[in-house]
Amino acid sequence: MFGQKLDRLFTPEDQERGLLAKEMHDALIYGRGGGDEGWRIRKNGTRMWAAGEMSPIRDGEGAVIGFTKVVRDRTAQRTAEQNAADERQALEILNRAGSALAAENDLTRLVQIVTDEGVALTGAEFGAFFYNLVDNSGESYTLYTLSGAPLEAFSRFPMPRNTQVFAPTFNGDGIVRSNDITKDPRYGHNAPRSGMPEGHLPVRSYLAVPVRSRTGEVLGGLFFGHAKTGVFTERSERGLAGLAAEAAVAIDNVRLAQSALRELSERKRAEEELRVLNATLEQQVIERTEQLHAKDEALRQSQKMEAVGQLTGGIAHDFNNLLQVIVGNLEALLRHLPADSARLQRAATQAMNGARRAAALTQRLLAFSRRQPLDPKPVNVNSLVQNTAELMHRSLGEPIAIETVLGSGLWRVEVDGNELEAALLNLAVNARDAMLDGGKLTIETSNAHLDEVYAANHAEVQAGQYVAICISDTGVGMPATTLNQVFEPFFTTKPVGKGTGLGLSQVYGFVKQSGGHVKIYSEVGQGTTVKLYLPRFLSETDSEPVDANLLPPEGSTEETILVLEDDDDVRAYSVESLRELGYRVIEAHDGPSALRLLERQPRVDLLFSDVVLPGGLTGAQVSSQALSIRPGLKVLFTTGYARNAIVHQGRLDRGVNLLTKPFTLSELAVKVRDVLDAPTGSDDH
Amino acid sequence: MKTTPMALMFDAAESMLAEAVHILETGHQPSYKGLGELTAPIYVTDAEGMITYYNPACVTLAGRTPTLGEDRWCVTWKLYTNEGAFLPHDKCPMADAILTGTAIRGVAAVAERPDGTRINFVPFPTPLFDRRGNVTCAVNLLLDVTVHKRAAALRDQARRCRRLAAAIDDQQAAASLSALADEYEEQADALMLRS
Repeated sequence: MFGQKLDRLFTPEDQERGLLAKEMHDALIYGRGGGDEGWRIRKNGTRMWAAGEMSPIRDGEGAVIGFTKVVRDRTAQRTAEQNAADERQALEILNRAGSALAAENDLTRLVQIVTDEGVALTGAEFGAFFYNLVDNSGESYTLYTLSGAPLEAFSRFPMPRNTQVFAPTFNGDGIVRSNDITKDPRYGHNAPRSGMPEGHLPVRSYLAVPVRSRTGEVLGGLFFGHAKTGVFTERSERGLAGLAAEAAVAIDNVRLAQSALRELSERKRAEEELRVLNATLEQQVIERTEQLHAKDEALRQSQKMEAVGQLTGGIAHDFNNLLQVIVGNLEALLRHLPADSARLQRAATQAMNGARRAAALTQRLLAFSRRQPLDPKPVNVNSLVQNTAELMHRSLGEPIAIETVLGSGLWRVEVDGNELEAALLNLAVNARDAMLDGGKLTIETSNAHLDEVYAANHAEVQAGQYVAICISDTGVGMPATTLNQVFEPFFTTKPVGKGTGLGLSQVYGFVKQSGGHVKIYSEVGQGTTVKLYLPRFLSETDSEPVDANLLPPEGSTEETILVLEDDDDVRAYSVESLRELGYRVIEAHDGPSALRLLERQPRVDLLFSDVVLPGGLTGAQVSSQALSIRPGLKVLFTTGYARNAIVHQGRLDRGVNLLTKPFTLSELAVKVRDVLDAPTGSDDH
Repeated sequence: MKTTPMALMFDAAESMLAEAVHILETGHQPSYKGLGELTAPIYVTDAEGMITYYNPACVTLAGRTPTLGEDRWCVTWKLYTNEGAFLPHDKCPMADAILTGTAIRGVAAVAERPDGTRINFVPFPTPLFDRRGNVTCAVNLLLDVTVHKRAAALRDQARRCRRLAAAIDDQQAAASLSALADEYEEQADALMLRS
């Protein structure tokens, strides 16, 4: 380099910074310049890492006449140092990762640490960890975590498939490192695509390492990428292999810990169950035993009743035939006895009375033994109870108050109405005898459902739908010992001559013969309730017959109904019928005139409107405008269409009051009364 | 065949109706001389059902005086079925008889008078025809069975009480039920006796 300027030793950047001038200046002032290490240019133009110092050369008088510059080439040393630093950093990363992973038992955080450290270790732009999991049902699935890229960067893409590029990693065959994966022969064989999907982060440098468990199972794969080529070195590969091994150990540990935890909690749960079972075992045994006892007792009781029934039934049957002979011959006797033989006539008449009473008694025995001829017909229990209650009032006398509480929407039953009436009277007579100082007899009806549990605990009871009739008194009640016997024939607690003890037997026999169930509740001093359950009758149509005996409910003259109907004849009929029922009626033939009337009238309680109307407003529209004029107004619609047709086509809301044409006076009467009596707000639209 | 008082009553009504038909076929409008002397309520309509004649007994039964040329199908004020449903006049048995051209028998209905009292009756609507078979007019006889119906209902009640008296296991209650039955029967007898 002899004859050349010292400048050329420096890199263009250092020249620009005026490094030489500074060295010279320092050498002049302090006696020494430079001393820093840096890149310098060799004679052949290559760079070297060098350390250099500059000193002034002085003459005898101390004047500076030149400079010495000593430069030492430290390139090899520096490379070794750099390598050592890199190795140290890699080790530091692996150590850090190792201790972080050892302390981590949350798999999600664990895989994130691995991915982050992998990026730090390799100098990748971004990395991903695809890891396999097994759910509780044993199904395996794959999740992934990212580093250096947001989750959205991959969320649009499907999970990587086992393509030629990915297969070695997912199969656990070994590391794949490529300076430019797009040039790799394995790249691009993933039909229908060819290579990375559009929008994928650009990857040229590629490094992928499988993560394998100690058992050889592939736990997942670590993938790293860089947009530049040739980023990943052998050292990256080695570091990553180490990281993958650490990750595998950590994941194994987490899995182990989790399964141990699961095992523990499962064992704990089982132990808890066992403990509860042990603690309640005695109680459970007692309960089951009691249940069995009760059921046995019920069965024994019903078998006893059955046996007594067969016996009495057999006797009654034969006795009935004998009575037939006696009554027939007494009749013949009475017919043919001479008119002047008064004494004989009297004797025969008395014999006849006795025979009739015997026949009635026999009838009750047959009833108990479930052998009486019955004539079952569909019966409306409410009206039967109502009619019987009147009769009870007249036959029981004043000191007994009788109240009926009739359930609404009561199902019908198919029974012999006469026998049901007799049963109710027999129960009423019993109640009266329990209330010697007077009291109250309450008859309630309701729909009831006897469930499987009830059926299982009571002999001869089928689970299902029933109509319940409950007869309660406020009398002296009965002890349990009496309760067990009340249905037995000839069982009586009454004084001699005050009944034969066949009243409740008739009730029992009738209800049983009708497929029903009877239950009696009583406590001394608390009164008695007898519940009769009669099976619900389901006819083909199951339409309620209009009860001819029931008078239509009437209105009061203050109650005003606005009838809105375009058909003149129908309107006339409705108006007349409603007046007939005692209401004040005003009428309109279309919506607008109805609304005008409503504004002028001081009182309107009910709008009775056709659904389909001329004049631009439907019944529903009129109704909603009418309600804004007069909130609280009741509305009843009528239509010739079937209810379902109207409601399903959206012409009316569900749940509105609707009376379908043609309607009878009593149907109209009942419906109008129902709507008027319903609490305001229940027919809100 | 057993003849009951009810059956006898129906026979009498039929023969009276036959007499009315005879008068109509041979007599002269508008007086229908002879119809007024018949004791049962009888009225006549034209082929459109407009009332053209009614005898005095109709006024007693209906509780009102019909207006000729205005009243149509029936002389009564309001009609109901036995079940209590309102029965418009143009759906009454007489309308049915005229519109279908057949005599109607075996139906019953309830009429209401303007004073609110109701009567059960059995109509005998009978159309008359010309030689070509067209309805020329129709005659109807209204047989008042209110009393019979009430008496029958009372006897039903009496039967019910006797049946229950035999079925219940208590002498005291049985005695009151029997007394009740006697009462109902007496009422029924009294009703029939009065009529």
